[in-house]
Amino acid sequence: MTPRRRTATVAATSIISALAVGGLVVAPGAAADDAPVAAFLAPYYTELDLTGDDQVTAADLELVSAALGATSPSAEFDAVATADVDADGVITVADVAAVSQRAIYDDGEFQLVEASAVDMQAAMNAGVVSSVDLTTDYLARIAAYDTAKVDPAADGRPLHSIITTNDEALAAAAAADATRASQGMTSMLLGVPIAVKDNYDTLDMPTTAGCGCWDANQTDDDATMVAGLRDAGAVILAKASLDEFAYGFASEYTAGQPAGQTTLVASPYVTSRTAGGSSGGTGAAIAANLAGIGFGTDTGGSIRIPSSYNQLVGVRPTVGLTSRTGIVPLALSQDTGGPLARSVTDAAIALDAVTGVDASDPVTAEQQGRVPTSYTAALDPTALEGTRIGYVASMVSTDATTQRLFAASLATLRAQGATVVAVTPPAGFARVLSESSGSTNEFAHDLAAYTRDHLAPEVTARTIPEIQASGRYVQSRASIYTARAAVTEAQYQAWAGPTGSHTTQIAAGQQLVTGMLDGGDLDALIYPSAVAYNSFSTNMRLSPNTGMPAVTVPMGQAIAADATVTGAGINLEFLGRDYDESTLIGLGYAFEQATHARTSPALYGPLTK
Amino acid sequence: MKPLRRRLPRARSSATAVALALAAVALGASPASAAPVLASATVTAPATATVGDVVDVSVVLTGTADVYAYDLEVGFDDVALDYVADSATSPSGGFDDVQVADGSLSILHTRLGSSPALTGDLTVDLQFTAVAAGSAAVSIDSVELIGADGSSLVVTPTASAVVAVAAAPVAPQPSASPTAGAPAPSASPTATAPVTGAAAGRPTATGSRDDLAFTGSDSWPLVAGSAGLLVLGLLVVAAVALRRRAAATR
Repeated sequence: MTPRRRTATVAATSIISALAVGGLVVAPGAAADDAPVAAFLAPYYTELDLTGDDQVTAADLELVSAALGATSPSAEFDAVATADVDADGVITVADVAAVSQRAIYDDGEFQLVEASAVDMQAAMNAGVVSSVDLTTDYLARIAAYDTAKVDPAADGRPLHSIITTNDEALAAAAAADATRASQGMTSMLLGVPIAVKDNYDTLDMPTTAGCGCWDANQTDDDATMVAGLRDAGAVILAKASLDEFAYGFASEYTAGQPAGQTTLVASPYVTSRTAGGSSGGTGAAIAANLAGIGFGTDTGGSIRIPSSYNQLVGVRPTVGLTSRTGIVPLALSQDTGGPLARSVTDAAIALDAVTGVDASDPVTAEQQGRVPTSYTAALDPTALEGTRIGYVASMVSTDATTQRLFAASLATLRAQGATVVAVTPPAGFARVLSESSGSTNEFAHDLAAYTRDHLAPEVTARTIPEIQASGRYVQSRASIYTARAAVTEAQYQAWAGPTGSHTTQIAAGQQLVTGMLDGGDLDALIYPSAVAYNSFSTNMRLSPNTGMPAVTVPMGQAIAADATVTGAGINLEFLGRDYDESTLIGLGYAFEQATHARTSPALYGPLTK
Repeated sequence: MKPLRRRLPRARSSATAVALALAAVALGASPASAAPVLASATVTAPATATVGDVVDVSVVLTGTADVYAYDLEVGFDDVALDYVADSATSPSGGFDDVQVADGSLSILHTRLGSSPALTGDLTVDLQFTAVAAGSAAVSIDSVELIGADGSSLVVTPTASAVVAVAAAPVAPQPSASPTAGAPAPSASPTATAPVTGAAAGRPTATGSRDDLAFTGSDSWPLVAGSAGLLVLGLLVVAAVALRRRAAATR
């Protein structure tokens, strides 16, 4: 028999580098002692890999096509048995096609609006767009939309979701493109433009915390989480607006404005309404497709409220999963940073990049051994099957929108195989919810540490009294600032010290709610994150008052018949055990895939060229 | 040694092309569902060639829809023709694999990832070198199309074209006029095999055996000893080489 000559080619130049590269690359100088580098969206994009690099590349397709016609049992078949996707015992062109479909690659038309990180990676791998293109286009959307009154309604407002855009973003994007050209897709975030709340320190943009008093705060470090994003190849596109110093849900800020002036952040769905807060700029910007993925911080709802108001997925991680170093604090007993994203998948991808033990934030040591290789491994559309989920009836508002959407959500969860049970909370549950935020007693103390370690020397307003004296802050909140400045060290210790009342209550709350989950054999508790453009009761307190993680996912919108705020989104929140973000991401993903409740804000469609 | 892929009998008879017969019916034959579609397949080759010539052959799948991947089995007379390595072209983008055996080529193409499936006319150009005189058939023995949803359409056998390969001319005389006597090229022979039903999205189990549009297998006068033809052939080779180089750097 004549030996066969075989030639395999991949026509597009870019895929040779994009797909043929072996293992992942870890950028040097990672700021945190990171968990193992995340796989590329396990298991969907990894399970048919034959070459051990956790992704389908040209090398895998060569192996499969070389084995065409091989039948089971044979050594040749067995070597690529994984590729016998249709399980018919023979390697066929159908199997080659099935394996190929697991490559992160798409040479079809790319649409920026509502693009996911996977969409962006697939288009960049195919050479359809570059990171420079994505960055240019997002900057164009910010320029066109953020400060313009797009909403024709008389009471319509501009979003005002962005405080600073990054002059270095295009250079970072070009560097990401060069990395892809030489090494392939080294990370699911490679070249993806990201907006971070303007309380995350960034080397290339000032960090104002929303306060005009800190316009000059050009730090000489990145926040640990920002460093993690850059290590993953993400492009830090912009700094998003926020409620000043992350105080509240209004998202009112003074950065970049003269004394006495403030700006409110608007929701892109109903622009007369707030985007929520305190991560309202992130919420508005990601919802309106002004960036790929966003990050916020949450002390008492500041990720989950803007996620709910802006139809986004938000993750409030376990306190300890993500380092707070280099983030302007509000109350370190409860502060935690996490993603706001248009999909659970994007949120999981983003979370992967920002975990890690950071010696400069000791609470992160807790996560050792409790962080999966990738949260994307939890993205299973059948994750709800066989689960038990509880809810506490008093956490469900009786307004028409909430009643309708929560009832529909229960039906969806049950249809997806979950057992949903009403839980009678134990004594002490009300006390968990009634514990107040650490922001009052901790802000001055924690701010002093940030000021000492991170605040740029050029900034003259370094204490609360100096901030107030500058006049460049939300002056209507003078009494709040004054009260927070008046907290003594003794008061702080009695509250947040090792045996402080707040410290003790959070530990008790964690124990009690974990006991509720264990006792009821529950995977998670659910409750609405908010009502139509408003918070509800003490729902937002459950996660911070236990330190336990929560994932919030859109469940639908208010309709006119509800007589609430037509068009307002409301999210369903899943709360689970410490460091069990994977379970929550899985439940949220299965719920998202069954509902696809998020809508894109119609006022902020594609730009016409 | 690799196990042989399925080998299909090669069509060796000249001037015949067999209409498509559908050996397998696509899954989900409802017109509304995505499933691969093929209207017809053709092989085009020059009617004549001379030993030493490069023979350009085109395989065209016309009227396709929802083609995420395809596998073409092409048979050729390996006494008269040698496949020129790496000469098979493919749609831009995607992954390609060509396996060469005695007298047959397995040409595989697949789109990548979530890329859209192909539609319309798909052309695969091939090159052979004429190595021996004879009536040399090139045939499409089998076409398998895979849709984006994994559904399969298998069509076999299909069409063929025949190239009359003439023996190499005797060594040209230096004094021979380079332009004298070279006949103008005529239309290339084309075999077309329509697919009954497939174009409407309803592949049937049997195809019609008529409608052959095959012409010209013997229409090109055999010209031996023509220096002009030799020059023409060399020009064709050069032009093809240039074209392929240009394509490669695109």
